[in-house]
Amino acid sequence: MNMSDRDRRPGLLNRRQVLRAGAGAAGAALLGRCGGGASSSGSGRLTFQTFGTPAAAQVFQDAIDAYEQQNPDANVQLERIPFPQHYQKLNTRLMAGTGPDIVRIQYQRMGRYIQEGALADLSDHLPPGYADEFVPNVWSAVTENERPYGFPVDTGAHVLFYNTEIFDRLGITTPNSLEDAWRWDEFLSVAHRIKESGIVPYSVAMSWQPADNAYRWTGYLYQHGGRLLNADLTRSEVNTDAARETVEFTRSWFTDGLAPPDTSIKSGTQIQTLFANGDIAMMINGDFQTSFLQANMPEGWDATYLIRDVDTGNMLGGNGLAVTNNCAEPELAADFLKFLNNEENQLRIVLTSQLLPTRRSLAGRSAKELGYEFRPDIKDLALEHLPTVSETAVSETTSPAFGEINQALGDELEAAFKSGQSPDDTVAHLDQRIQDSLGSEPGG
Amino acid sequence: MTPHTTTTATPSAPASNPARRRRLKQKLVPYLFITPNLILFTLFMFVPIVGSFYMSLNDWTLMGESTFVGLSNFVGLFTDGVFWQAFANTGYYVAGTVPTTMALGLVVAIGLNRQMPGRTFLRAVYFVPVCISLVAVGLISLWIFNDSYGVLNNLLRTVEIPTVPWLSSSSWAMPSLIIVTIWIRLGFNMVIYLAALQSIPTELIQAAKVDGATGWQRFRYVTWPLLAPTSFLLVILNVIFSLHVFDLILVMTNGGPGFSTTVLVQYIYREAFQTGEMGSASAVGVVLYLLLMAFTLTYWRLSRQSNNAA
Repeated sequence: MNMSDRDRRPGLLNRRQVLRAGAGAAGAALLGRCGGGASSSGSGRLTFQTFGTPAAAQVFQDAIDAYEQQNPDANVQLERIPFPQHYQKLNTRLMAGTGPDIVRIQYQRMGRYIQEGALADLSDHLPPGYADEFVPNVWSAVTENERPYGFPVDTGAHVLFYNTEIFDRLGITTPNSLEDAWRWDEFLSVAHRIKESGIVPYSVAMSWQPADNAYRWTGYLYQHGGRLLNADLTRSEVNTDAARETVEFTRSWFTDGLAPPDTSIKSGTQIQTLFANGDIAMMINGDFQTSFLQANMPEGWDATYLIRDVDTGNMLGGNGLAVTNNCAEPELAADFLKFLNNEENQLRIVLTSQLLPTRRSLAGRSAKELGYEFRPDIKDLALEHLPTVSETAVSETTSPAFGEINQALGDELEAAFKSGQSPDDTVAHLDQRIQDSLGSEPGG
Repeated sequence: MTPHTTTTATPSAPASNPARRRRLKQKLVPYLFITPNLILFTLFMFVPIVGSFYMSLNDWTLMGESTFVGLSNFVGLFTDGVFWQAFANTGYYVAGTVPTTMALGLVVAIGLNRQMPGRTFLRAVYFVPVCISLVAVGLISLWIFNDSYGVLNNLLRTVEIPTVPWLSSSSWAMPSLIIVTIWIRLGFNMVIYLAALQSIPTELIQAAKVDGATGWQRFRYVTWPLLAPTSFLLVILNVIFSLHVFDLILVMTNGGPGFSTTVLVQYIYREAFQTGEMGSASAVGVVLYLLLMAFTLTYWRLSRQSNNAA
């Protein structure tokens, strides 16, 4: 562009030029707004909406920097949103057609976004055999009809944390293998023994609060041979004795005074604080709580296998990364996510977040070897639990209507635990509400 | 047209035009001033309100197409027990917070309207909670009222008084929320009443004193009637605040135990952002809007009638 010195002097811009420049800038800004987060075809620009701690976001940012160095045309913008606003913002952005190109989604939320057509089918962007690199049940969590809609990045498992001092005083020994994990009756007997000893006010608390985590109750349902839905996820199958007995079992923790009254589904109590304060002797919680305990209760606790019944059953937890249908360059987004989720980066992500890996090559190694510094034995215990998340648990938890089902679980279990609602009524209400959310008649 | 009429009309025309222009200008100026606000109001209030009315007649999950379903969202609402419980809880919360915050606000305002040492400091102390984010207040209150590790129960244990299940019992959870709300809103009511008290001419009070009126009589027959417009404003504002309560309850009780602290706005949030039923959520929004409108109009009419009677 040829420009004389006179033209370059800002003082010589006349009013019309200034107005034109202003209008141009405003127009460009407006167009930019209209474009929103969606990348324009061929621009190499990707927006990536995530939630989590600043440390976890930094791991993502480091991976982005490394990817951009290898691919100078790519430009990935990371946006960290506080968790309570993450899905609201995602929904409104998707609705406005300005959704991010890449988004972090919990597995239990995946089904709804897939059903609404918000996520891109990644089948054409992944090499053959890519699925085999992941633990099968977590891979299923990001697929629908065998088509992948996301990358499983991290997962977790629930274990039973216990206060070693109280267990030693009462001479309680813990199981040595998954097979020997306490059955429900053994667990109740231990819990009653602790309660009757008077050493602590309450025996146990479970991490099903706040209400978003109500679905964690289903782990017990699966342990007892029950399920929420039929195999093709079209009808409720919760109206069974197994479900009624599971409600009765968990309700008895409150009615028998084994669990603190403020640890029901809608409570705001942090059960890890109760455990660290010595108010409860046992806590059923995710393995990632080790980082909280490291800071607040460095000693005096241990963990053992999650309780079981006719079956072992753990709760599906963790997060995937998906490409939205707003993305103009899904090929580039998928390529970036393959890089972000490679062995090296996934290990950094899970070590920073204190979560478990989803890659077979990582999940098959010992925690010490992987680099977990604090209590690697607890991570080994959790890794051992990974296969106990059943296919039923995965398919139900990632089903499209699971948001509404989770809401129903929260309401009805809260009513059972806190308002004296009978197991019969609880299961009948659940059956009705699950059917309503599926849009069909109640099952038998 | 005769030359005569021309001569009479011609000088009057230029005289009337500027006058008309001035009048027109005077009429237009107020509109010019309210235009920016009107645009914002239209964009962010009127359009969404009309949108909510329309959305309440549709089935829409935020993503995907909406389907017109007529009044079925309202039918679903009125047959849902949780809605009625949320409705009743909202009434309980309004009744528990509005008269108490106003009465206490007035008492504190009267107290701080006198000459006393540390008056400004105390006024600031009472007003500070108004400036704190409700989420922050909720989190702090959670630590104060928590059954197991809360400050209050620990204090009770220290003095060997039985602890209270503040947030885990259906009968105590709402009173706990009301206590926190009173703490937050007291300062606001105090400041408004204080301003009103300071605007009452001292001659009136002194005249009543000279006439032999007692302290209570001076308050009852002079101060209180003159505070009526302020009280009217505060009733409306406090009712609106209480009907809109959300963040505090979400953080402190999440609507529980059971549904004992679920209020209408939380019911909207549940429907909209947890269940994804935007149509049903809009229907509750419409009900809340009509409720508030009916209350304001009734109260306004009653207040006008009593003023006229006085």
